[in-house]
Amino acid sequence: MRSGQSESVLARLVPRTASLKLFFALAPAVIYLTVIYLLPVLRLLTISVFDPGFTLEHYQHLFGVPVYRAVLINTFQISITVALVCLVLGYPAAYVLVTAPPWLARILIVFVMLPFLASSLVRNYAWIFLLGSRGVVNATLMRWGVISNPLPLIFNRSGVIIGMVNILLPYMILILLSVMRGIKRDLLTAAQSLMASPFTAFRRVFLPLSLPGIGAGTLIVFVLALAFFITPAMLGGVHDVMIANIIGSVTATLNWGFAGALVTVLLVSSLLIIGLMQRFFGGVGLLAGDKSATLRSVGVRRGREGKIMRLLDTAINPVWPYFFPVIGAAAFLFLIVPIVIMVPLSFSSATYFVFPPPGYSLRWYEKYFTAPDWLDSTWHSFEIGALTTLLALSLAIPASLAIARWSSRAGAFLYFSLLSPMIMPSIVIAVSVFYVLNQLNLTYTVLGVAMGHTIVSLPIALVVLVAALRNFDRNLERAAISLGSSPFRTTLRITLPLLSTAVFTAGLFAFLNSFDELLIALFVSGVNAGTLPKKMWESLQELDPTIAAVSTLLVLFVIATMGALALVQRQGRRRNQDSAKA
Amino acid sequence: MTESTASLRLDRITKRYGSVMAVDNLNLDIRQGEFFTLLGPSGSGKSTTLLLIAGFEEPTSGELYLEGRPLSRIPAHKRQIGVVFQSYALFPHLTVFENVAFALRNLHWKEADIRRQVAEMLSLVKLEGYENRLPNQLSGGQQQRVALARSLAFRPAVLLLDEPIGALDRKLREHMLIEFKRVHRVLKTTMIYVTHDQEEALVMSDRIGVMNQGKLIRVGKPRELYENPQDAFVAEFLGETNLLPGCVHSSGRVILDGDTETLNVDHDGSTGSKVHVVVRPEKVVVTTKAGELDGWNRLQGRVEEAIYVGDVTKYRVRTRAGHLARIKQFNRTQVTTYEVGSDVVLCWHPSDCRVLEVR
Repeated sequence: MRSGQSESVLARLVPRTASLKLFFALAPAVIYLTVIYLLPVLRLLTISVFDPGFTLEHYQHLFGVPVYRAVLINTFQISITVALVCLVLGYPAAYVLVTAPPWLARILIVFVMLPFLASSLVRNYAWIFLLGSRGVVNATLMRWGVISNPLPLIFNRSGVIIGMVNILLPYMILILLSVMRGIKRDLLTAAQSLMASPFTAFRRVFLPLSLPGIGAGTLIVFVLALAFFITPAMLGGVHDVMIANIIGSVTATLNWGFAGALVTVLLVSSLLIIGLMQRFFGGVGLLAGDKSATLRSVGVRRGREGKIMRLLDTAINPVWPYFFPVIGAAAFLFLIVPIVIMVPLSFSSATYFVFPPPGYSLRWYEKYFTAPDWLDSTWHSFEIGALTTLLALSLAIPASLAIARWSSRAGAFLYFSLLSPMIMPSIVIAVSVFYVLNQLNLTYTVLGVAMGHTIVSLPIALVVLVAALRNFDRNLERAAISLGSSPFRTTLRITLPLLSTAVFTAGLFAFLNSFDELLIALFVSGVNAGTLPKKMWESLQELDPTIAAVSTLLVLFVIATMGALALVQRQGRRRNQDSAKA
Repeated sequence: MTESTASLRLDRITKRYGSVMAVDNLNLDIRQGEFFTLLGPSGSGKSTTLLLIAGFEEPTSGELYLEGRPLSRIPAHKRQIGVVFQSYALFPHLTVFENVAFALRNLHWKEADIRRQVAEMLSLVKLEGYENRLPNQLSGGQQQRVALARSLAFRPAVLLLDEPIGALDRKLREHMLIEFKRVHRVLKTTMIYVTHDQEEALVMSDRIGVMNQGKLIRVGKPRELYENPQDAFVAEFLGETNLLPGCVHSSGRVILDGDTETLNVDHDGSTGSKVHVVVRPEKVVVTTKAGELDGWNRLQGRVEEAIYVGDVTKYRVRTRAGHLARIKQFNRTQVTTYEVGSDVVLCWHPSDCRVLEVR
């Protein structure tokens, strides 16, 4: 499909037969995802109404039985609340990030990225230590005499909401940030030159232009929240069971039909909302960086400035410089506390959780490094991670090359299909993968878990690689071709080496994603291939500070990888600059 | 300069960023209703000066006075100074009407007054009927005009224009210059225009202030500055010029370095002091019949380059003493064009050149 531009001599150098090669490059990734992920999911959806003949009994069961109805309602209630709280905390935080001087922005972004990359297990455990009846908050408040009985902050709705907000807040902030970055600063300056006070300028110019981000962020957080499993299970009570938890327990009874119905309800709700987002905000393009999508949603009406606005301006103007920074600071603190709190606890000499620790000791680290079950699971996690990275990269690299070349609408559709596991609820993937691997007799093996993890790691690697390829200067390849290098050789000797930074980043994210993954591992790994997150999950009952030691080690691991990543990226940038200067 | 005619006064304004002196001890009085241009190359401090006047930056030292009132206490959004930005900065989510009405709404004007004023402003910039368009539906020139209407709607005492037409193509630029002048004539608002383009400055301004490296070098009417720059930087920045090095020979006579004959030039220096003879390219005649121009200064030389530019021919001539002279000659039918390598004589009237002391 030719674009409207005239065909240059250079463009003709790339042979048309390349389209067949594109097809073959994409095939492995497409086939893999279809077999291991798409087909089982479709099978589940089909079973929910064809079990074996057409029947609606599963849906009747789901909507009819009060317990299940309550679960559906709870799920939506919790998700909406979490989305709104994330918005209230996330907007000021994103605003602070975008208006801060560069040195401060660099520091604050770590407060967002570190939680983003650290496992949710670690953070949920931290909340148990912080909010439990003998946890940090209650112990401190009681010691100061503020309360006489511990506050019920956990194993109930508030615990779930706190835990979920903590995990989803980085998503809200990053989405809002990407939209806010697109708002040109001179618009606010212009507004001030037109007699608008700083708050009025925000209200009349910045806020309307950030509306697409608010819409996209809220909807995405809501969709992600719907599918949550781990946090409600760890931090919730009887009234906080969500759909994903039911799917988990139903699968254990092998009631595939009912599981299928639950999965369908979850999927359909998610897709409906994403469809809404597309309709009103052109949101999906927004996430792929398509800036023209932003304005469609912003309403343009006569902006009467009535008495209410005057009052609002007068009230807020004096406190405006402090308003967002204060809330933003609270949000950043909230994000970092669960990560940081594990460190002192891991050095505690007590055998249970008490804060401040009575003494300091290394016994929990000792316990970790000498316990065979902890070490085995760690080793499995590394094995599986390495395998996943290998699989994901070997599928993603040719696929990304094909996608970056293929600019037609079919190509875009294929790209988004390959990315779909990222928005699919983890529990759905876990259940489908378990189903397929069962058929292939690969459950309870390291390979099986790695194959499952590849489903989610592949899209992540793909996004990183395609983004890097889109920024890649095609003229470098054309120069090589004009000098007699075949397309394959060019790819091998020119394209890939220059993309080494992106390949490293993609591999790193694939690895981390697999290392932290819990649900697929829970279903598929069994005892023989048990991963570290699975072991942590199973230690929920024991609750000894070994978990704190493991969590600290995991956080350090993430920090080390972030550091390695920053170094590699800086080198990559320097290399690209040198080649540009030369 | 009495207080009542000074609309805007800059008193010893200095702005320092770290160790960089962006604006260095600027003193300037801008008169009521004047069209004043700050002209200078990139980094000369002209845009910084604009930021200081608008209130988007605070001066390191010095004071600004608007109609006698000091501005330092007044935040940017209360200064009633309009700004037209180079990027137009139109609000993309508001219609043309709402963009123009923006300041009026902030000032809580009555709805009927707002409608009337917006209509007036749009007709002033000849955009009647465009009220409901969005900025992305307008061409560059139209966006420029909306930005102008918007910044004038609340009747500011002073309007600042920051290189507003840099992004437009040449024909459109010329058209917009005429538009700016017309609006200025109609509204009589004090306007301060910032540009690096000397042609814009010459066309538009009542007075020009030439800036370089944070300092205000000279202020004057366009013709004054052009004909009598009194400063090497101004001479070279404002139009093209020849700066021929030499020294004073005697009263009324100067001799160029390496030359044997003296030139007839007015000066007030002492014998032997080093000078530059400044003569504009369009004042020089290229000819082979030197005998005809009596009393005119003459230099012999050879044509190194002859460039045809449609309406003029530009010559670069190497004089016998080794200086490179630039000449501009209109291509009238009576005038001969000379080829590269020809021997010619450069002539100009003594009153068409000046002398600058070399410091």
